[in-house]
Amino acid sequence: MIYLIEDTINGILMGSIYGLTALGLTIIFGVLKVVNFAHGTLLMVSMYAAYWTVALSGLHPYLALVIVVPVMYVFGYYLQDIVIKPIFKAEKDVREPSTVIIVTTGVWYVLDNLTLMIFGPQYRTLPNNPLQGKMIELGDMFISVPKLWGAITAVATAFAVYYFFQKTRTGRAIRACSLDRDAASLCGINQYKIYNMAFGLGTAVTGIAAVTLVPFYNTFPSVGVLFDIKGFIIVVLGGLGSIPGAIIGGIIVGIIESVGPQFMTATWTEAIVYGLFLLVLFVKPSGLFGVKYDW
Amino acid sequence: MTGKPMTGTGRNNAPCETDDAFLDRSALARQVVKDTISKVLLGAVLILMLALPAVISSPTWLHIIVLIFFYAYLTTSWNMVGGFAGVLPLGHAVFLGIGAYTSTVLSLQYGISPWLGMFVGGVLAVAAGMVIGLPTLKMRGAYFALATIAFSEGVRVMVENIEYLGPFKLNGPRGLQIPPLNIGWANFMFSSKVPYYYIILAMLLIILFLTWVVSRSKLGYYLTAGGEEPEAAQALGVNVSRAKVIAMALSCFFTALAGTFYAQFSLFIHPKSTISLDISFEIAFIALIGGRGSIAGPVLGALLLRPVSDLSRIYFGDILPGMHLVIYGVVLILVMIYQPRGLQEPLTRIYDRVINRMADGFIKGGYK
Repeated sequence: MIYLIEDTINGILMGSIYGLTALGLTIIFGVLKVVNFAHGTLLMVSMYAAYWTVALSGLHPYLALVIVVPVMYVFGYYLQDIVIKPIFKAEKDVREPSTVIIVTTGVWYVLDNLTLMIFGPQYRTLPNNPLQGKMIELGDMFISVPKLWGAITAVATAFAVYYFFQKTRTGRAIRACSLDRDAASLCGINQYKIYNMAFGLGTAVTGIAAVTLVPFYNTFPSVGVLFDIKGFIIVVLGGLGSIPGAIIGGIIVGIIESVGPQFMTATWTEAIVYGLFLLVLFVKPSGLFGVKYDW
Repeated sequence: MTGKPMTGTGRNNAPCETDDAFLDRSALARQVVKDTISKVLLGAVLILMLALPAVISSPTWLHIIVLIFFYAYLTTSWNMVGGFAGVLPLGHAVFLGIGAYTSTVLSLQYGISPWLGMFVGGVLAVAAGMVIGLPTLKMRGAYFALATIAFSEGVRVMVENIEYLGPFKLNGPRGLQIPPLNIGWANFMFSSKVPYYYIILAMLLIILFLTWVVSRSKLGYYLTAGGEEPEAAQALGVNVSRAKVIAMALSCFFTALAGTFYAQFSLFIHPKSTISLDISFEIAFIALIGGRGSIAGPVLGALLLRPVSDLSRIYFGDILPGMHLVIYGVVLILVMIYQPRGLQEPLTRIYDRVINRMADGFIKGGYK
């Protein structure tokens, strides 16, 4: 019984971090109406950025935030500006341009394999990591400290993003664009700039996720693929475009993954997650918290 | 050359564009000459293909060429649903895997010839395709793509975990090895690569012919209409979902046939090599770079991309791993930005120009 509780807690913690990795995906989808297939790759890039910041400067792992977040914002901003914007302009009338999916897949392949060529396939863990293997003892239960901090960061980030979208002027402009591009443009909003900003914001949030992951997760070139597919599952579970949905979808996946192995082989839980994803897609494609779109 | 047919085959500028009733005789003659040149060229390419194994003796090169045809075939099957129907399936490797596993299990355990198992696999793949296609084909854009990815990955994880599926031995992650004992046509197993070459060539020609038939049939028009303007097509009474489902069934069936070919060609299948996302994405990439929704596109894409992949793996595999995928990605991005209809469009234009030039030459020569 105690194991079940311990696994559930760990599942919730890890799940919130999954939710944080998927948050950027849902932000970008909410505004651009495009599933960014390069999302896992952006996470991978952020993880390398965080890894090298910490490894070279010797800072505390969480202080890497100060460098990684702005760097990733700029990276996302210009990635959208240079690679994705031309397609948006070409397919102005299409509600959900499928060409963008293809281009982001191209970005995924290029960045993943460039990283492989430059940094090699080895798994990297932080040197002199102060958080390595740190645990809190709670009676008979052990709770990983970096995961706990990750979960707290996840919830805090979700609230911050939500607040930003609801209360600030820029946030309102972004929401206006996501509701109706043309009407927003007529009101004097520069829609392409908003897209760049939304993409940059999504990438910056992914940077936060990467900083919380690096202290307890390996960094390697194909790490993005793991989180890519998981991210899709999470955002569809929670509802594409929904911010609380991303965190809660993440927690559901996290609990299945950590409690499941109590009852079956660990690899089967993966199949269950895929099954649940398909079930949600068949029964309620808008997800748990999603807005009903016309799919 | 203003009224170019939309299908973009490039080979068939048949005299159908008779917007003016007074078609002048020399234009007609010119059209006939152009058709003849196209046919002669096509025939020459065919003869060249048939004679190729006699010229190329190196098994490595033959292997590369077989793989080019294999991918051209796979992509052409993909194109039926991914190209004409305008959706984006990204998990087609699962049907390849179903085909490979079905025929292999049947031949290893029950001694049934892979030639028969091939079609059993095809039918099973259609069933699987319906499971995933019926609920999701109606959805737009990304949802279908995500569903196909999840389905394919889910099946892969399951196959990796299953040792015995009822009476059938799948052998989990270790996969199945086909012992090369009974070599011969009846068992779809050969010691040389030449028969494989002819088999995949025949399969490719059949699927190309079939795509040509489909693109000219009512189904093809329904698919194109439904892919470009679903609302308008539906308003005109086209049952778009039904057309998509039929296209999906065809596509699954033919992809599964390629699975059997793959199993017999490599004599070893395991979940990661057959039901892999890499294959699914590579198929989609080839189709998109070549030009989705056209007949020539997948073949052109395979011709251009597969050698890049194989040669860079041979020559740079050790120093620069993954280089071919970087090239794929860059080419894909550039093509999508500058030639959204794929490379077949500029190539078709060049081909037309060459044919025109040749027709001019012939006509002038004839009048002298």
